Amino acid sequence: MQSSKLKLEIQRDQKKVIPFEISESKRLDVVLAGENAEVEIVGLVLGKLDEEKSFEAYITHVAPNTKSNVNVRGVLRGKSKFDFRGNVRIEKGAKGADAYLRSDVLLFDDAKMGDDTPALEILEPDVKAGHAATIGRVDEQMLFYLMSRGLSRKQAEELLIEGFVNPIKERLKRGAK
Amino acid sequence: MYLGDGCMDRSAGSVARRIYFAVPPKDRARKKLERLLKTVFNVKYAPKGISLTINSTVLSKLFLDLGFAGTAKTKKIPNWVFNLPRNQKLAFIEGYFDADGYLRRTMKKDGKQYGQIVFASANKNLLEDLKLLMISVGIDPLKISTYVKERKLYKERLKEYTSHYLSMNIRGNLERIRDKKEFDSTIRFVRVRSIEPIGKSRVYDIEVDKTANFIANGVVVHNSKITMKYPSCYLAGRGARGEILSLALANRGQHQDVGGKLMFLAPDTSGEIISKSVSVNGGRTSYRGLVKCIKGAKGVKCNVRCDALILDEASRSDTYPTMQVDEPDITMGHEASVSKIGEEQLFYLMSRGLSEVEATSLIVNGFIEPIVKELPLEYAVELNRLIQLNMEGSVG
Repeated sequence: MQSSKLKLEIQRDQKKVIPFEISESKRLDVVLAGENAEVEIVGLVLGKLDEEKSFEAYITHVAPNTKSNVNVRGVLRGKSKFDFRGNVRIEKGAKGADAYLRSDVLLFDDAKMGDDTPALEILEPDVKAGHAATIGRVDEQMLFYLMSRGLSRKQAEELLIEGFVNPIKERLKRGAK
Repeated sequence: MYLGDGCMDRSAGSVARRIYFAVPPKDRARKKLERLLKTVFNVKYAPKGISLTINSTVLSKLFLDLGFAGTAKTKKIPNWVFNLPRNQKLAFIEGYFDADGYLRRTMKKDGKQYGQIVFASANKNLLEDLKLLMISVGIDPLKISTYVKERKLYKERLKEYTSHYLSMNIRGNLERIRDKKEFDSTIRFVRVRSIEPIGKSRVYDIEVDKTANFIANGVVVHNSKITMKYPSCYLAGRGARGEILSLALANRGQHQDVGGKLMFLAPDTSGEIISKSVSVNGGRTSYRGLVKCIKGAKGVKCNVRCDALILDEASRSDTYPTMQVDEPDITMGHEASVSKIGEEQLFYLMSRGLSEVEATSLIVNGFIEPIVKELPLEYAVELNRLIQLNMEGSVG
């Protein structure tokens, strides 16, 4: 299995968008070192057969008014497996920090979500921090709606997956803008 | 039995020579005692007043070696008794009951035996030992009560007798002893009946290495520096549902490392974890949770919500949720937010005439409300007051 590591330090008033498709195991370390620094991480995982992928994101807010947003979406099929470990740490003094950590994964066939841990460590009260994670299938009710409009189950599922993945794909296409 | 009614006579060279059992001839226990002395020890005994006397250096020495030394007020249960197997412990308690125990208010009603077994002694430490021993075999003794009696001696002299009573309810306990049921491991809640002020004294905070537990006074306790609590639900049957409500308040010097585990082992199970934590005065709260769903547990629904409130600069809050899912046919969600009390919220409440402390505790109460509303009313009231108490002087 390939693995890659990336370390970044984001300086004052810089904004960085890191879009990527996770194709192996990846580790990302981001330090928001300067005031008003911003980072946006957009990740897409498409797993099939018996692929095993993992993504670790360690984000540290050091300076005030820094912002981070991690958004990872995955569609896992076959016997694939994905691990996501996110850790946002907001150091004391990073006032006005805004952190959001999100992972959504759709599972099919015999796919597994190995370890989904979006962790937060907050040492500064004056912050906004949240995380959310969902794991599951496509929504039955949405499926039912589309099927009632004459689509087959498979078509409806494809459509919903497309809708799930597209926003991230768009973001990836636009690249680091 | 010796523990209750026995005593020892020492000769000048401090060699124990004689043992007395103060058991009146009419007492039912007298026959048992005589029989035991004959069959177990094969010694001669002689009645002397209300007591039996045994002239035997060997027997005296045996009793001494077993750790039964001491006078009525200093006798105690030797340590080795606590390491005995359960049935021997029960036999020990039974023997002691023959000496110092009696039945009180026994009656039969609806086929159930009511009443109490009472142990009376002038030696409170002995009863404390006994209480521990009883707890260790699964009997629930009640608390030890103390009475002071005055007795008139000749020449108008008064003598005070202090006696202590350890009682236990018969119902339930007898069945547990008779059926030789093991200590049931379910945790029980016992309501606090009364609180008695016993004055001020030094309190010790005992810590052991790392995260080990230790036993103090019959209660398993853990280090108080970090409080760890991870209640777990194993959802093993189809359609089972488990809910974990967790509430943590960490004040100065405290680290509350709490959370919960949900293990989905069967299809169509569902569960929910709601965790609310508040850090104040430099306290630290951590939510640590695990949600695991094994292969084949189809149709599982799970929702986790963990919110944290940080009240001041020195406090800290962490969240470490973990989800492990081996089954695709499920829905699982997790959500969390960390916040401080909004300036606007405080300002609004204060503009309505509340003090800063009142406003803060009102907001905190609102924050934990989803959990409090699940509690029985009396606990909820108690909890709100506790939080108010903790908030006092925490702001500004």
